[in-house]
Amino acid sequence: MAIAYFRCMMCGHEWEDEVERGDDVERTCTKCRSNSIRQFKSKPEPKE
Amino acid sequence: MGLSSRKAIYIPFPQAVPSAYTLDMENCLGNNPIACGKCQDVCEQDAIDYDDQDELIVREVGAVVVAIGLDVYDPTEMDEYGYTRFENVITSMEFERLICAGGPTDGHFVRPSDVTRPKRIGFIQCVGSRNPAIGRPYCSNICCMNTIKDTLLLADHYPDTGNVVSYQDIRAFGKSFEDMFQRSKEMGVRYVRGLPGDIEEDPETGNLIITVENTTSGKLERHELDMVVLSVGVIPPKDLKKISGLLTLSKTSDGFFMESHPKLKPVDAPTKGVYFAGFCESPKDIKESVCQSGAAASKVGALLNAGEIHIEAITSVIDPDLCTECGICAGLCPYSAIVWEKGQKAEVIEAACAGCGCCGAACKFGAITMRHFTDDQLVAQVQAVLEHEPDEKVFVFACNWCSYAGGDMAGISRLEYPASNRVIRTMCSARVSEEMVLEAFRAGAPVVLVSGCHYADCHYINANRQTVVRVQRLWNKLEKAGVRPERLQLEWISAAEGQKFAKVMKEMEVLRATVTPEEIAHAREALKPKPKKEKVKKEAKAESVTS
Repeated sequence: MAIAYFRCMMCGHEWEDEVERGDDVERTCTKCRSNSIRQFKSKPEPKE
Repeated sequence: MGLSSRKAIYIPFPQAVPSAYTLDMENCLGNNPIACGKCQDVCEQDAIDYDDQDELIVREVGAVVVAIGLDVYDPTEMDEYGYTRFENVITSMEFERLICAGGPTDGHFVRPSDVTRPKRIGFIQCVGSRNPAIGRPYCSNICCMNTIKDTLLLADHYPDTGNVVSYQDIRAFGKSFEDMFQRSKEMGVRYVRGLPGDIEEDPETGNLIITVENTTSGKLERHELDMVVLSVGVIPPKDLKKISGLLTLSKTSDGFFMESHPKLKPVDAPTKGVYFAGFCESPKDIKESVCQSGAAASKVGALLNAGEIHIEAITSVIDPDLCTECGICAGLCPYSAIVWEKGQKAEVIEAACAGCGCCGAACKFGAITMRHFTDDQLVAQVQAVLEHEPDEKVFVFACNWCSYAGGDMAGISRLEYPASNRVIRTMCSARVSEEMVLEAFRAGAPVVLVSGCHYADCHYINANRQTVVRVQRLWNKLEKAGVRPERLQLEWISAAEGQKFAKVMKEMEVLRATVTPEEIAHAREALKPKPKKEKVKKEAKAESVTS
């Protein structure tokens, strides 16, 4: 298990979640339901 | 359960198919050196060979039916029900053995602790089913009717037995199932809607006590029982992973095999020539399993007797002159339709290729062409769409099966959405290469949307996972180039989600309106393809020679 950081590319909502190698999960933004979810290995820089 | 003994040669259970004897080699005395050998002496068919060994048999076949069955949930991990602590807590499978005329007690139902007949029996439903906490969120389909059948058997054999069934919901939706359920209630079986938190044992009598909240009456009920039967669910068979690897099959979230289409192709596997029968595809009862097996046999018959098979024209073709033998395409193909070995050119098995185009989008050397959806054709479409007033358009790549059909659904449902979108259809979202998206930005698209099927619905097993990988890579590339990565969006839209298609298009239009002409101009410049280093060097050399 590792922690991954996610950012919704539609509404900008950011969160972190546990991920496992080979995870096969359809990701959805919990705020706006968009599927444009960008994954980061480390905490991303806050958006300007 | 330790209630009877078994010989070293036995039929696994009376109804076993095939009804053949098997040798328990750990306990057989007749093997090397022969100390007994009596079974061999009496076998008229001469079917017993102590020296027989496991062997690998290679067969060439035209079709495969996967019917590997199921495993039964082991309730050991649910310690609250005391399966390992209390002798009188048994599973529904053990119940079957106890009540079976061919079982260890010749069908006389007794409880294990004192071998006396129990008078009060409790059944607890959904043990290992519909329980997300233990990773088993699905309904096992057969347990409700199995318990109802068991209560009827008990009521028939022992009318003085009092039975209590503790349940979440009774799912009796098959033919005559509701009649059986009503008959069970009429025969005095008590159905309590609610599951007990745990089971306690009276150490003196061995009786079991369950406390359960009856959610129908809103009251707390306490039952003292002689025996408890845990109605255990079913789980995917342990060999499923191995078979899945062998035949390139994928699994649904509950761990069973995924069919080609849940409604239209429930028997076909996504891999051509492979069919499912029975539980391995999803929990189902005997009747459904028989139906599916019949359908699978018919499909195999039709395939093998076809003589000539027509395959889809939309398949990938590899140009051996351009192939650099990297093998990336072979690793990505969801159908294992590309044959490649180190140091050799990749080759497509056309009969196995389903035409997703994932390989074509991944090949950096332009060696793979996908018939009817070539790179040139798609790029030409991108350029044509964005030839006039590109800044007014939302550019959409939509997969043939889901997103494009979702757009159709929005249209036939007469849902309103902005007219700014321009949709290019590809067979799968995985056909969309990074270069195609970059080309759209170079041509002046303010916003690009890549859309495909939901994960569970991907028509090419799991090809759309590659779409995610590419879009992630593109977001990084765009950011590096100083282009706002939010201008590239990704959405999963199913054929039924006309509403979602319209909603997404509205959101895209809002996003498009935020993109300035300066941003578009910057993207055009920043994403221009860089000339390759070798080419630059050669050109510089040529120039110096001429000057």
